[in-house]
Amino acid sequence: MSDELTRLLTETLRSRETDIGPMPDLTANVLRKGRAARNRRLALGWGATGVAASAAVVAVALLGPVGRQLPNPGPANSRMPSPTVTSTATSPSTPAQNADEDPLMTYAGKLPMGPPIDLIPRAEKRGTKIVVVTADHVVTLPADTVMAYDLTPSAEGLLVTTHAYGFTGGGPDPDQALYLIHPDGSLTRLHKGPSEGLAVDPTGKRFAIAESAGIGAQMGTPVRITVASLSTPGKSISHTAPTAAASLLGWTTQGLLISDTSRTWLWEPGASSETEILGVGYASVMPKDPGRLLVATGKADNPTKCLHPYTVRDGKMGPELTCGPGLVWTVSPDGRHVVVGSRVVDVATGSVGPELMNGLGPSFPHWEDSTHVLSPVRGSDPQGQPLPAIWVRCDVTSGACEQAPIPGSNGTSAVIDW
Amino acid sequence: MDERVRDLSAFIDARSCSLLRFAYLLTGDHGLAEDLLQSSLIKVYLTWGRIRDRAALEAYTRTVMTRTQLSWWRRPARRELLGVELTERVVRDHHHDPERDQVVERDELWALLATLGPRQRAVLVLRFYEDLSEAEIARVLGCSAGTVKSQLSRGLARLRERMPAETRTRNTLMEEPR
Repeated sequence: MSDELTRLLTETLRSRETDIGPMPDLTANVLRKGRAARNRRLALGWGATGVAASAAVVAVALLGPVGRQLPNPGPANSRMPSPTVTSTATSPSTPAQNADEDPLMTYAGKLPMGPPIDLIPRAEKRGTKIVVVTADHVVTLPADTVMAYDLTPSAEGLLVTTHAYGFTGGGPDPDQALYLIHPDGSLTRLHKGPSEGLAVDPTGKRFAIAESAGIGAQMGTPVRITVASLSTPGKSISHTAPTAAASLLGWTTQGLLISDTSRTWLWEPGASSETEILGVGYASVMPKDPGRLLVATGKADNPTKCLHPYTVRDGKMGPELTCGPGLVWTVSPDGRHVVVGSRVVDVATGSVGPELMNGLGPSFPHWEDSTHVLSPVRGSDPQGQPLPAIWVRCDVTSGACEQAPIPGSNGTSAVIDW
Repeated sequence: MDERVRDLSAFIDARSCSLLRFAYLLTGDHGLAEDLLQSSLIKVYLTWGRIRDRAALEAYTRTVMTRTQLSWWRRPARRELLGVELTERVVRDHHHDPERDQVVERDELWALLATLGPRQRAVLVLRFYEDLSEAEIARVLGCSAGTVKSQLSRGLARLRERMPAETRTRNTLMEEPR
């Protein structure tokens, strides 16, 4: 190797040291933003590689002014491992202790008490174990599981994605797994390794998983989409997505919905080509109607996106529902309402409904039924110690919110996803 | 005080200048460097409970910074910015002053570094600033040592190709990598 060039290079790099001065407020900013990001993750139930806890929640990556935007420290832009979910039981009577730092906790702590949450199925942390509670069984997941999410029904049983303890140094989690909980409560592992999304076909008989490159793989290794039958998962077909950043968003009547946040396309398993949905950066499949999507349109370099309904069969875009920077939305199980940030929008008319939680949330709601969203609010005190979670239930038609206790909690269990 | 807050605060206070220098070398831009460092430290905050070996905290943080920088670059807007030809030619006079020539050469090389892809740049920074071995760089980047070797070779070759002839001649940079 050229000694002269490397010497010059070393000198050049070292000479630039003097260009740098201290960053004021760095420690305070990191702690404040880190705490906020952790609270968001805990509220979301994010897994160890930052995969969405709730498949119904869709976030559009926020790209701010070139070069100056601090990327969202939350999991949407990160593959970093996150801390294990804190096992804190709902204790609605506990007052918020960090009012200065977390107005959401303060707000949630003052809400009146409503009826308890009783959702089936759900994942819970019980002691050191993670269990999935179905209508007939309480299924204990493998002992090394620290997180369970994406509970997805299918014709063969309930699918659940898990993470095990694993420090990956910022890389993908090799211990991520996908399990099928059979109707008799038995467990079959369908996949092991890092993935970027799961989808079940409209018949409920097949599943697809976006397998991302594992540790040691070259940067930029494309995502591989694998499709298999749930009854005979050994037989599968694979497809290589065109980018390393692709994630699987759902299964439509016209094939799998895939996006890399700048482009969105459909791929019919077995087909040799894909169909791009032009002008769409991100999308979600409408609940109970896999022929329709909600799509975010807008230029890749402009953080403002607009939300539209979209029909996949004829590629018809519906009227604009709402616009804003960094759209985050979730659709009600009946497909009638969409919550965008704190606002409720009627999908059919585009009319804007009430603002939820005084505009503070719900950041990433779970739907209890078609008119009620639940949002776990987990804060920490100024010393960073976790505070007991408060679950908030909001009526999307009236905007009224209340606390929602978890029944039967003995102080060690906590709902983490459903 | 929470152990995470206490230890991370102490770490940031002690090492932030060094880490910021590293971020600056990775990005070549002050604003990006600050963004990169802050984002990376937030990731460290979030993974604190899983960092078993606190003695390796700085190395881990640099790994996070490197990987975060590479992931940022994949974004179209960021790529556009970093793909801009940043080589501002330094105006030379013809009266050779060794000290001034050195400064000019460094400026030229610094500008040329900005024209490299992020992986090549990261490999060069890790090798010639951090003084890591190829195997260590491979661990940081999550790739094979062979990939590091080829990136290193290509990065240096690219710098050599783009270096002004005058500098190449003076520094005998024409030899091929072995």
